[in-house]
Amino acid sequence: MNYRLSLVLIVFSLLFGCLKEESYVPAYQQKLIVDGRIELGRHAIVSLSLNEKYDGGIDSLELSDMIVRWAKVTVSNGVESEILTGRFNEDYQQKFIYTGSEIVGKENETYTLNIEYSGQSWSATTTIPEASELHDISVEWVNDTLYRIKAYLPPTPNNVPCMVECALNESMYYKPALACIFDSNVSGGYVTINRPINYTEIKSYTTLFNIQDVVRLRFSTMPQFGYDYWSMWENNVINNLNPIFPAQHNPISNISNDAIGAWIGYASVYYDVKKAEPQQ
Amino acid sequence: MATQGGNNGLHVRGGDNGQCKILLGGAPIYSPSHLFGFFSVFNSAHLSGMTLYKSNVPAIYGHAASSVLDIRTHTYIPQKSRFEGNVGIIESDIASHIRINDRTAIYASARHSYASWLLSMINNQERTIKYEFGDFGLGLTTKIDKVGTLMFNAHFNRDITFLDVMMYDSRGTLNWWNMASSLSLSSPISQNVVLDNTLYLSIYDNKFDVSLVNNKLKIGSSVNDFGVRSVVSYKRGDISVYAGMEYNYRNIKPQYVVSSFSSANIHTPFDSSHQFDIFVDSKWKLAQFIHADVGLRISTYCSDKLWLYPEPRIMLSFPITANSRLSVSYNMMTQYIHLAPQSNTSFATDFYVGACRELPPQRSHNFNIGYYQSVLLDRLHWSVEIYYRYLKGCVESMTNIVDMVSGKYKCKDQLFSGRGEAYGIETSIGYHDQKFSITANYTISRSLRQFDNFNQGRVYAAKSDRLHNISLYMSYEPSPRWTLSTTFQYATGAPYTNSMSVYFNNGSFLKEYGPYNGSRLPDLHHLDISVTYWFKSNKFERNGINVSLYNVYMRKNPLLLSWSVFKGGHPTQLYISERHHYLYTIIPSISWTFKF
Repeated sequence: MNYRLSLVLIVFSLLFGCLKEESYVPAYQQKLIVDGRIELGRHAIVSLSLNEKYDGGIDSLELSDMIVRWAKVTVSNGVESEILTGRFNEDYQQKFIYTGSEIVGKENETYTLNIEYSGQSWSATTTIPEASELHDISVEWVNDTLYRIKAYLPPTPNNVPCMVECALNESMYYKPALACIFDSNVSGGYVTINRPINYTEIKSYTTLFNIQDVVRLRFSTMPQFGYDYWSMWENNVINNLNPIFPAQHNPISNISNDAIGAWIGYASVYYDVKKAEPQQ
Repeated sequence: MATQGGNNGLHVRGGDNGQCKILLGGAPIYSPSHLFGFFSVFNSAHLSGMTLYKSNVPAIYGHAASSVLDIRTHTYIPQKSRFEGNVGIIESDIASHIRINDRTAIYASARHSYASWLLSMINNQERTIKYEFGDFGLGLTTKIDKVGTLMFNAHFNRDITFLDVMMYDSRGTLNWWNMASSLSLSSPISQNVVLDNTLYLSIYDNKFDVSLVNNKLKIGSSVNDFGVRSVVSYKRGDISVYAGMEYNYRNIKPQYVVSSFSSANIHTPFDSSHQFDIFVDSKWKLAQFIHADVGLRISTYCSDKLWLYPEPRIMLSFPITANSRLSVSYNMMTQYIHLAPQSNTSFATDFYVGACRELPPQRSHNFNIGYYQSVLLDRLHWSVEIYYRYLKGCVESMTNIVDMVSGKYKCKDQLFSGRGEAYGIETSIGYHDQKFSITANYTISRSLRQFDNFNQGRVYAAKSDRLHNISLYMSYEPSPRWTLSTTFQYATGAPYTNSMSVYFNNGSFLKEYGPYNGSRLPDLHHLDISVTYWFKSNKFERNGINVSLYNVYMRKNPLLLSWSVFKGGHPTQLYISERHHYLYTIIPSISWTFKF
């Protein structure tokens, strides 16, 4: 029965249809995931991984199995280049990163990333913008155990976008604070710095920090691509469960050869958040 | 995220939700249903009838790219005042036809829901949903000597949804309302000529207030429609001719965003437009075996650019026997307002935007061939229709709520114009007698879209695309005391954008989305039954208790799919679990129906 009906439809579409739907079944392709940064006054840091096929659920997923450890990663500033060294680093959730030791990020300089892995190559370029600083970082107690962090966001040089990331407690790994990716139009005002999302604790997530939390902030200016990338990244993280405004499109990427991710130059400033005990 | 059902509008023959024009007493309605499509906003007792024009749309109707649903209200003067209504556990409604004198009557209706208990079945620790809806109608008909019949109609409907989601501290309210009113004067000029003048005003407004993290976000839109329509009709024997004009002034606030986060709120400017149409439509018997319905509508539209399009409409009908006919039609239609979808559901967060340079008008070419036959003294009838529609100027959107929060969002930058087509075969068979009635419909169809910005320009399935669509309705009255009825519906699953892979990036798991609308949700089907017992009563014209079960076999039709990452048994092990979210399984209902 189905066959006959399909046949009728095919004949009908041949007769009438102008638009031909291409056989375009979603096909999994293994892709390289790049998370690369070079900061003003610091060396490049790159982490590489691969995507995992998704087909209605994954029974067992080992993050360590997704990590790429045997790539050749090169960074150049147009004059000199260096091959980054792959090493284990417990501060990163991937536990493995590629770091440089020679080329240091400079303001308004352009850096090219080249990656070679498994017979393929990828590349990307970025420029480090001028630095800016957060002002007036303060702690506001909500109750005896929870607090929020506020800061004054000054206009950035040339109105470049900026973002705030947090590292909590012993971890030196900075994750984007929720809703803290700023385009130039929000500069010149006080902002609240929210706790970063932990993907396994979404349901118990709160924007506030706990009394035991030791919080370090990283405030970074970045090129416009950085804002476009991070806003789509955040949209995908928080709206993949939103039925009204769902995320349905992949974040943009500046890595060639169909890789996912970004290579971005930042001018970053680091802060330790000092908190007084809540007033009784 | 993938969604199915939850549809607030009408998709006719592969058309998008906003491509079907809905008129109530001549005034446009922008929000035709409550509770995600579960209830119509119209109280049936307040209406005298409705006609869905999908094959051939007469030239007196415009402003639509796919179809027109013309809903009529009562205009007669009742012999005595009467009341009818339902008192149920989900909603209650009442309608009255009040005779003032032999020249004037008032019609009033009201409905209020208490649907929150229904939604409380799906509430849990993760989310709470509350929902209320209501609608009101008011009509007046008065006959004036030497002038004609004056008719006034007003309709108001509203929905309020409250959502509290234990995720990112988010909660919100979604409210929308629609007001439509019209004033019509029908004046006989001579025995064969009637002049109908209609003045209408329609307002639609939606607001989504959401608290996300520490930020408060208000997203809203509105449409204000004002118009006047004059139609002169001439009828004599087999000939009827309609000619007239319609002027429409429309003021649309496409989508504004007020964010506590950003110093620069997004105030999208109003889209103001003027539309002036003239039309003529005639029906006559061309020969013994050809009936013709030929019309022409010329629409002019002025916003940031001036457009003028002729819209020819033609239908030829060939009676084969006394009870069978073959008809062929071609319609060109133009629509100067777009409904921008925000998701695969048709939530009230979808917003309207006027045609402009970036988003040109939607135009469609519609072809239809149909064969219709009835036998057994009109008790058994069946039909087959084949249709094809080509669409230009369809609209899709690519919304990023993070840009809305940060004040960077520009709604028209997120909207894209493309083309589409829909084709299919509709079959229907029905048998009706005094006790038993059955209607079965089957449609096989496709609805496709092509946009440069989606799927690298490849053709993909529209969100209204359903390969198979089956509906079956039966009712049986074994005695004057009992009425039994059942409905079965089946449709191929809705297209959605699925994840191809997952990846870890910057401390979070993300989906790599596959082709836009490249996958299908599970098929949707449900069986509903209803039993009514009619009491014997001298006081009531009708007095009965109705018991019904919606989705008898508790099919879990997924409204949406989602997935989350969980910690596995081993400290470094994770797993990803997919969840199918459905709005309801079985819905019992009991109501008292009366009429006196």
